[in-house]
Amino acid sequence: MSAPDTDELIVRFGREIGAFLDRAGKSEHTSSMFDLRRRTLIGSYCYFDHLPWALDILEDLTTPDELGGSGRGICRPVYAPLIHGLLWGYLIARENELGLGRQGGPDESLELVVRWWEGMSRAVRADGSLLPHEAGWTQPSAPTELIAGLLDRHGDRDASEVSHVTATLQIYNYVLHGEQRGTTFFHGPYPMGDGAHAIVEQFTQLRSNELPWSLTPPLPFDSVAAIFELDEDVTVEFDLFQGMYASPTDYLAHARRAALLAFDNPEPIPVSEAEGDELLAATRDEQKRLFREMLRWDTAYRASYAVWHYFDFLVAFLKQAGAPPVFVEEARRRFEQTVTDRLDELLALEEIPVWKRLYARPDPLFSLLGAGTA
Amino acid sequence: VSEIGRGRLVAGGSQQVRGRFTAVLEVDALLGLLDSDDGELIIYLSRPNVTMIAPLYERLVGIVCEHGNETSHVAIVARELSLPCVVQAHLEHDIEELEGRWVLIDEEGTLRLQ
Repeated sequence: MSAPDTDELIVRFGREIGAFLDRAGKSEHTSSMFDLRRRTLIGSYCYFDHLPWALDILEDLTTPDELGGSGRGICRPVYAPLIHGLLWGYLIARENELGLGRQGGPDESLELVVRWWEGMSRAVRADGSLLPHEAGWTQPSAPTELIAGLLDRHGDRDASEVSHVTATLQIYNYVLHGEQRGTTFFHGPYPMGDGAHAIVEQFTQLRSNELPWSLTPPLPFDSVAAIFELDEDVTVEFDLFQGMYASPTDYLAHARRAALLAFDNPEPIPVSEAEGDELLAATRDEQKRLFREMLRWDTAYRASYAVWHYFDFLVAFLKQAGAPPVFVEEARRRFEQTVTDRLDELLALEEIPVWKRLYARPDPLFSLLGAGTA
Repeated sequence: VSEIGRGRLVAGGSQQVRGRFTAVLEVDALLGLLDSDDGELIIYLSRPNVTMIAPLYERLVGIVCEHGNETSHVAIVARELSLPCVVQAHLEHDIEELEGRWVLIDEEGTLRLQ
């Protein structure tokens, strides 16, 4: 990839992030419980410090096209927001370094990250587009015929019952991930004929993840997805991370069909009403435990915990590519090292340059190749 | 029944709900509620943050937020739970005066004191 091509992709990604921030109404990044600005940044620094190392490993095992393509489907280990998260993390840490008057890392590292991101992003969509906002706020991630087939076989559930389960899982996932949507992912729309379209709301790694506070996962399923077929008068739009915006907002009142499926096995299995109730009960109890545990975290951990989210996401790529466990452990060691090297400085910063820049929305949002190099 | 405020109803709205006004502006307030069994709560938040409803959501009959919009995570979750959610709420009373009082949220997003 040429340098101008890399720069063009950095500009486009920045515009997509700007559109996302505008759309999500994000004018601040604060919480009563967590240090959201620093937590995002310490996790991002893990990518800034080690993503090129991880991509070098992936280069020996697979290709961006193959790894991104593995994400096509429902509840796949690698999926679109994780792919976008790699570049997002790398770029905001780089931008923070530049804002602090330091170097932004080698250009060849940035080129490597952008090249992998572009290849995987195109492959997971497989529609010739790259980013949701650029493509009319769409984020298809699965073959339409797969969605249609699952609705034909299993789309007989009551939409409000299904949505009660998904709402509970959203809340659980949000708590589990310390105030971020984590592995909740809306994707679509998928045309179903007669003007109707389907959306997918999926939850992955509910049991199996790398989050230290989730050591004894009590949930009966690891991956669950709801599929809703919506009337033609419902408009749905998707951002590059996990979000969906629907008009009218009570879109579930316009659902024609709904399915609730577990994806823990090669073939999806319908989640019965009794299993849904079991899932709800386990989720309710566990999130209360998590909430109380998180309240005991000290100031430093209320920022540094995010490293495990970023690690968890990176591990999905390594495992999917077939990287031996030694690389996963090496990644863990490297991420811990970034916390050792960078957390104290981050906690001491009164103003964090990258957030100031993100909210000011310059264009380009992210600095191009060559910025800050010696 | 007197009007005490109003905002934008971004979830629910098929019928009015009645509950006890409970402000959760800090985590400490949430902890206090965790140790009680109070139900039928209309929770009042400043920011539309799902964390502040997470441990309580089964005990809620409605959500009122000072800020937020229809795309806020709280609003999304409220819709899926079929709970009314009022955002950008402007109250005509001090929050302390309303604490524990029975309040109605009507189909238009108006809040009334009973």
